[in-house]
Amino acid sequence: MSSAPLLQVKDLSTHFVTRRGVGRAVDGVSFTLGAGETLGLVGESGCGKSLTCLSVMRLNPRPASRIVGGQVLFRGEDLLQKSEREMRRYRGRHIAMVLQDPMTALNPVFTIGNQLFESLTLHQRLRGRRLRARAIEVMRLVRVPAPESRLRSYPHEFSGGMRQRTVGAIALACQPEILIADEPTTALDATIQAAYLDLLRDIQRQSRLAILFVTHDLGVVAQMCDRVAVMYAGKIVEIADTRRLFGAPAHPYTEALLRSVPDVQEDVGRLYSIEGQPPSIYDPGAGCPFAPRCPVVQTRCRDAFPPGRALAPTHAVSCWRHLP
Amino acid sequence: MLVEARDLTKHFALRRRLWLGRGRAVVRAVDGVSFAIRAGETFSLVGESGCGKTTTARLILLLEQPTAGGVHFRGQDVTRLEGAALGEYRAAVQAVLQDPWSSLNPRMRAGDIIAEPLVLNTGLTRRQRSERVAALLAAVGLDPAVGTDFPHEFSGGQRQRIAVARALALSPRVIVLDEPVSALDVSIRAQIMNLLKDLQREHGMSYLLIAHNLATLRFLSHRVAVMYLGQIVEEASSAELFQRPRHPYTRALISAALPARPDAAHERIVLPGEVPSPTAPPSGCRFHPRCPVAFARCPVEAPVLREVSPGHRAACHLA
Repeated sequence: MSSAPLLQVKDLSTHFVTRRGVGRAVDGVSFTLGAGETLGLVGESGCGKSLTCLSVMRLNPRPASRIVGGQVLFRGEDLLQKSEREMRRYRGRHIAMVLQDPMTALNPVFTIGNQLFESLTLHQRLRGRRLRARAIEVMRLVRVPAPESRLRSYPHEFSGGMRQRTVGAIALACQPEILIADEPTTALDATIQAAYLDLLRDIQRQSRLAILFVTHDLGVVAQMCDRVAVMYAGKIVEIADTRRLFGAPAHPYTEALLRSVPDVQEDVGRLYSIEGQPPSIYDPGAGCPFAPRCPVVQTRCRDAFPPGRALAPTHAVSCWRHLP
Repeated sequence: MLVEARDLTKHFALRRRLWLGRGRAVVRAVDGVSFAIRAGETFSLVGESGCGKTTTARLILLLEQPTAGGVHFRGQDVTRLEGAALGEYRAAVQAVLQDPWSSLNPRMRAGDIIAEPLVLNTGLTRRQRSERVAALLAAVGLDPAVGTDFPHEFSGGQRQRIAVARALALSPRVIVLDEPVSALDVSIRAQIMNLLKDLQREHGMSYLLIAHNLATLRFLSHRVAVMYLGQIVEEASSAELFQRPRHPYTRALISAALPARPDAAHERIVLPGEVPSPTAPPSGCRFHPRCPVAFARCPVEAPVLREVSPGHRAACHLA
C-alpha cells in the first residue's frame, strides 16, 4: 500500500433541494482509499452511498442536488474546486465508474466497439489499428470470448453478465487509478456474479487498481473488500478493515445488519430483524439518526451526533456507546 | 400431496426461423418437470435466469397452459378447468410476486387492494370485508388504519406486506412466492421472511418459493429443487441439499452463494461461460459444456433424474 492515500474524501455533504425542503442525503462523509485496495460502502436504500459516489465524480444530479461542503482530494487535488472542463479529464481517465444496470450505461443504438472506442479516442487519442487493438485487448482482459467479432455486436445481443463485463471494459480501457463500482453484481445471477468478482480481483492484483465498491450484500463485502464503511441516513457510522467489522462490529446498526443476514451454511429458526425504517433525510432530527431504532440508545443519542472515535488504527466508529 | 406437477412442459414458439430454415425456433422453457408439494411445507425452486422457474410458477398458477403434462391439486387434474371450478382453484392457490412496485394498483387504496379478492369471490357484506381487511393488515404487521393509504405512501417492505395480506384474504392452501424479498433491503428482508415463516406455522399453508438467493431459500424451505435450462437437476430436503449436494451445478450454486463472513471455509467453484439459450440446449446433459467434471458420456446421453439416496434425486451420471 502506498503511503499517501489516492483518494481522500473529507466531510463531503450533498443536499437535495426540492419542494419538500432540504434533504441531507450525504451528511459529512469522510473516508480514504489507497492504491490496490478495495473499500466497501455498505448501507441500505436511501442511505446515500450512490449519491456519495456520484458526488466524488461530480456527477450528482443537478439542479436537484448540490454539493454543499467538504473536499474530494485525488492525489492531493480537490476535485470539488475543478471546473467542469477539467473534471472531464478525470472522468474515465483517472476515475471510472461502473453501475448496477449495464443497459442504462450502454447506448442501445451503438455497437460495443463504438462505445469502447469513445473513451480511448477521447482520453488517449488512439486511432485506427491501435485503437482497435487496444479495444480488443481490454475485452480480453474482462474475459469476453472472441472479442474481435464482438466489437460489431449491439448491447441487446449480449447476456447480462457479458454486458456488465463490457461496461467494465469501457471503464478500464484507459487504465484509471480508481474504479467506483455501484452495485455492479446485484442484477447478476449467483454464478455469474462469482465469476465477475473473480475477474475484478485478478485485474486489481495486476494493476493496483483502487476500488470503491458500493453494495448492500454483506457476502460480497466479505469476499471483495479490504475495508468497509457502513452508512446510515447519509452518515458513515463505522469504518473498519473487513475482518474487524465482521468479527467485532462496534456500531449497533452494523451489528443488527450482520445479524439479519441469513447464512447459506446455517439453519436458523428466526432471523434477527430491526423494526422500523431510517428517518427521512428531510427531517433527520438533532441526534444520531439510528436512535429511534437502536436497542442500546442513551439519552444523549437524541441530542447530538456522536464524534468519531478510533477504536484501533483501522477501526473508527461514531457511537455514544464508545465515548466516555 | 397437495399440489403436483407431472411432467410439466412448456414450449414457446418464436416467430423467427431457425437458420437453415428448418422450422421455427422453440424456447424449451420448462421441459418435463415433476414435483410434489405437501400441505404445510415450503417447496422451493432455485436456479438462474432462464432456468424456467418463473414459467413453472406461472404454470402452477394456471396463468399459462402447459404444452404437455399437467398440474394436479388434491389428486385432480386442474389444467383444463374453467368457470367456477377454476375459481375454486384460484382461491386456493394465491401468489405474491417479486416487484412490490408493480404488483399493487397505484390507484387503489391498500384496504381496497386487500378486499378485492373478497369482493370477487365471497358474499361478505361491506362491514364483514372491512373487519377481515383490518385483521389481515394486523396479521402482516401493519396498522389497520393504513388501509386508506395509497401504495406510493408505503415503503417496499410495507408494499410486500400488503401483497401478502391480499394473498391471505381467501385463506389459500398454497401461496406461490416468486422472489418475494429480492427487491427489498437486507434488514427488511429479515422482517418479511420471519413473517412468512410465522404465517406458515399459524395457518399451515404450503409455499412454492421461487428464489435465486440460496440463503433466503435455506431459511424458509423444507424441500428444494434445482433447475437448469428447463429441467430439475436435483431435488432433496433442504438440509440434505445443502449438506450433501450431488449435482455439480448445485455445488457451484452453493459455492457462489458467498458465505456471509470473511475467512469462512469456502470451496470456490467458478463455472465457465454463460447459460446457453433455451432455444438450443446442449446435447445429452444440458449442463455438460460448463460442468467441471463432465466426461465422455455426458454430451451423448442425458442423465435421468433418479433417486440417489432416500428422498434425494439427482440427474447426473456421476451422482
